[in-house]
Amino acid sequence: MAVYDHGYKGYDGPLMPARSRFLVISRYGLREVFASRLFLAFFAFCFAWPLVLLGAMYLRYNAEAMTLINLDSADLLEFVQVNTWFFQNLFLRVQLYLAFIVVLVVGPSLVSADLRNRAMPLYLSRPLTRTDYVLGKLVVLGVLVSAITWAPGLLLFAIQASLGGREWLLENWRVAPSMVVVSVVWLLCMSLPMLAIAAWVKWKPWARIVFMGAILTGTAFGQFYKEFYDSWLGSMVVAFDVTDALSASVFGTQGTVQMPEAAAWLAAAALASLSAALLYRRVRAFEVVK
Amino acid sequence: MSEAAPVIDLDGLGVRFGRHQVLDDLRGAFSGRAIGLLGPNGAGKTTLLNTLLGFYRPTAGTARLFGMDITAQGRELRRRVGYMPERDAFIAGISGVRFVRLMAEVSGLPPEAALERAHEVFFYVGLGEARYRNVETYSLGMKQLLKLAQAIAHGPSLLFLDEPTNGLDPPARLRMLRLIREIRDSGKARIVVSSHLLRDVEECCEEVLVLNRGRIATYCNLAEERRANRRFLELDLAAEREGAGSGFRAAIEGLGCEVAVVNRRRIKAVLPPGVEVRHIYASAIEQDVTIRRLDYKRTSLEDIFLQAMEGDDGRL
Repeated sequence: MAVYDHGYKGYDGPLMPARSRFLVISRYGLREVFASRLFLAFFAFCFAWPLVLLGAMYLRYNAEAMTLINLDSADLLEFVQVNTWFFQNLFLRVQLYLAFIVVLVVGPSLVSADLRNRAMPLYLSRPLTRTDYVLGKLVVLGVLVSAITWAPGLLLFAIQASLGGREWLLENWRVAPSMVVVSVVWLLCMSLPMLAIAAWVKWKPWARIVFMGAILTGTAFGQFYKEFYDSWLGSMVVAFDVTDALSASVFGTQGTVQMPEAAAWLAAAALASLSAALLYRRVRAFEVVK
Repeated sequence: MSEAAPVIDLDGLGVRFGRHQVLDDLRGAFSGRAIGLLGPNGAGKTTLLNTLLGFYRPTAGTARLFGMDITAQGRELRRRVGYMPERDAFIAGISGVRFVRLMAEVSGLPPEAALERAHEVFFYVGLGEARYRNVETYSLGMKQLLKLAQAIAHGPSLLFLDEPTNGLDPPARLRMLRLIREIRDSGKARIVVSSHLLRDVEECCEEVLVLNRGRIATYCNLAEERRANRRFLELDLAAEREGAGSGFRAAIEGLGCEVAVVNRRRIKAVLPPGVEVRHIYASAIEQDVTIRRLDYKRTSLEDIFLQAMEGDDGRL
């Protein structure tokens, strides 16, 4: 519009496909997240450990480099065994802890501000459903968590496969899909409760406190139950026990938690479903008081 | 009501929250360029808007906008609709232009077009200079204009405005009403204004739907009402000589006017088609009568509203 022509005019240009409309929310969400330099610094830090592991993998297969830094190759070969345990515990477990912090920091800012400032009617008066909105927000967390969990994990896996050769690959092929599955399940089990709490609490610091409180309370109660009744049932409410059991189930290893695989999957499914239901109850244009 | 294709077509629409019937059996087709929703607090104006927007599901009947069912074709409809909510609504932490761009993109505009439209509407509503400021820093009046900007950014063909002049000072209110009239007169968008301010509705709407206790209390075509009012006259007379008054009455009755005598100096007349006020003045000169005051009858929106609000017992 020219500066001298300020009359109202409609829009009859092209439109973006309706199915990918939720990605607009994700794109804006990601841009807002990375507008914080502090977060950017932390996010960069999340790649430090994979780089350390990459360095160790490189050294393991490079005798010249080990000689240069006066490292005994036998010691390193003993110390760094690149196998399922390496990816499951040394890599993924650490990265999931970092991803937990990412969800804790980013999650509440995605939803609570929209609800506090009554932005929902603005979103939902457009060709956008509640599912689109939740999906758009989940994608933000999905991208961030994936970027520090399974994505670098697959990269490490690919490098190791190229260094270790066909034999190693045949022996450890299950690691790659397992990292993706555990990361995605973990993402749903952490992100949905975080978003649900943020939607109900509407204030970022409180949402984080409530989320941490819920995890700590669950852990304390679960540990007490396990000790007192000598039963694995307590692990059902301990987030890290469930994660460990799920991880062991997916990677096909022996878990540290005495908990049936089915119970771990059930606990994860129940947590995600309940959180999704609570989130849906809150993500609406207006509250209906009956 | 107009015979043009209805913008809003209500077909026994009802909405119930628990045991509370909020909207009950609303029927009618409304085609005006600007439709006003009037009613006291709790009459169901906002609920009707929210139902038409798809926020609430009808518990009875249905409604159509531009012939499309609000439930079955909600997503397609919302692409053509702009909504300015009553209360503060924004996305925190971003600049005004970014907020409006986001809203336009969510409506389906490609990013470049959305950015261009965002800048355009900011200048259109008069917030051009403030478009890079964070929306939290806007004053109340600016936030109202911002809400209008986001509602029109994607060029909707139907605009829902819920209490658009809420909290505005007189100059800001006049500006808002001017913008609404401009959009209405552009013919690019139909407008539905929900307000409890009769003056605002009177100034920008052509049709008015008065709601009371969730039902349609009355419907009024303001444009037709205004035209009809031009035919009703009230005259104050000063006769120069005895019998001149009755002579004048007879003269204008001879023109075909229906005349009612209020008192010796005041009469009411209904002009038939073809008779204009100048004919009345001509008769007054012939009969040597001075017309001290000539008024058109004013059935104001307030009269219509108050009449509609009267309960069964005659009280408001």
